[in-house]
Amino acid sequence: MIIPPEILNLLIIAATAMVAAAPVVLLLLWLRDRKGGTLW
Amino acid sequence: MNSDPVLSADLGWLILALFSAVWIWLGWWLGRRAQGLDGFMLAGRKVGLALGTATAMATWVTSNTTMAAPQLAFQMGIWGMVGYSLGSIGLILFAPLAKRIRELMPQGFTSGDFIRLRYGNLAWRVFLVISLFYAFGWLISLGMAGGVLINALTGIDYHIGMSVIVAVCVSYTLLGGLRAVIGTDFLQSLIILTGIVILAVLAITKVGVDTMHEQVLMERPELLNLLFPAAIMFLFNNLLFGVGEIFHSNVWWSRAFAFREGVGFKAYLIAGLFWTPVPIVAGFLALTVPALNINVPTADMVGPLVAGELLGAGGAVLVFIVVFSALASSLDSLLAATSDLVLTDLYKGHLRPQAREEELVKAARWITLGLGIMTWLLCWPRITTLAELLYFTGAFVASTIWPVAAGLYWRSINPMGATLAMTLGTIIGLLSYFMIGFYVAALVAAAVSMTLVLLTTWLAPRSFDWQRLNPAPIPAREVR
Repeated sequence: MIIPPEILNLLIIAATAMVAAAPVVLLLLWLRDRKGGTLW
Repeated sequence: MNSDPVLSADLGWLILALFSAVWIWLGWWLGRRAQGLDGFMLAGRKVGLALGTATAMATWVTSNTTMAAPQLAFQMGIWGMVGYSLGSIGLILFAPLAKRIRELMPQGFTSGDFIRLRYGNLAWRVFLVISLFYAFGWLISLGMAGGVLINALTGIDYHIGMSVIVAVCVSYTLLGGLRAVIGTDFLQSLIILTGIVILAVLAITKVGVDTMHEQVLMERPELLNLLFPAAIMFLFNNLLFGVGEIFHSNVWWSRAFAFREGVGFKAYLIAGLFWTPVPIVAGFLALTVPALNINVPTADMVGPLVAGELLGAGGAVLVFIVVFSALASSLDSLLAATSDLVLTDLYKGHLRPQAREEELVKAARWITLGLGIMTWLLCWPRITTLAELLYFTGAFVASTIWPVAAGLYWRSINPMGATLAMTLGTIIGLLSYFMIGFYVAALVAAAVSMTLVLLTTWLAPRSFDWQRLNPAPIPAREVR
């Protein structure tokens, strides 16, 4: 049972988009913690 | 294409020198305010959500993610990379455990503390053997990966590259303790994630998923087969392996102790969710091998070779920086956490029970240095491929899943049963590793361990007082 190209495409694009969102989320959390004095 | 380095050795040395200086300076700068043993070992127990999430992610994104994920995709196709991504289940499942650990042991230091107080000295010693064996397996895997990467990309000798990465991580961990580790992890996680995304986008636009699919289907169709039996076994094995690694290892426990109250659950959950796609993004690069007609001399070099071929010198620089960051972010964490385990459970636990805080702070630094030297010596001969080395420890760690998880929630777990579960789970898991294959070791170990924990608890239940995990009184609302 071979994975169809459309599914492979979806898997790769969705995974890449999620990884791209991660640094943004981390930076937002960092800003929030820094503002709230809860970084360390 | 051949396996010639894609970067000149001069450029390689420049990048190495630049990043080494940055990490060491940052480690010193972040660690200068660390006060006492809590400050050095656990960053003062006040780490917030941003740094907590980043350190969990960066530590789990190792050289084994950035290098072994393409290797596994190259060997096992779709299920190789998807199976690798299930390593995130360990982080996600550890989220409630981290909350529970912080509640039950607000003054705890190591995972060894928990096993000793929960199950007694025999289980503690069995656990220490497992935990230290795993820690060294991972340290060797990381050190070796450093040498392999630097050699593959720049032609700098394996032994020199490996020595540099180990020396840099030891230096800044020595200077700043866990504060340095967590602070550098934040920056490293941003570099790793951004770098992986850039590589993935360039690979998609240069080769295209359809072309990739078409060429793999022509040359190696088994890689796209959703019913590839060994790969499916690998998927479940990897899931349990990841859970075992995280549940038992002091790398994750020390963070649970270091995070401020209320942070552990959220940090591990967010880190797990965002980690899931990382091996898929790093791994699919290997599926471009047939389309690009690359000659891959050894499977553990497939990642750097594909990136070099796809993206030229600029891409190779990027891969170099990403994997150097991934290596450092894991190696520093492991050095710090293993040093804590050796200090608390071996030095103080067995050799110097009366040691005072000043002595322990000093000893912590010597132990970190000693661990670094041992790692360097063990990495010197390049023994086996990265994935094989990594999976050799699968039987050990998977046998601890049930004793750890059940011991945190169920009062009635039988301590002797937990000890037997770890011992026999490891032995039978190792036998299956050699008799069947690496992809079943964790599965078998976890199954044996589970059976023994449940059976002995059913036959001879015990009652445990949770207060014994914390010498200081805990408010009643915190312990259910």
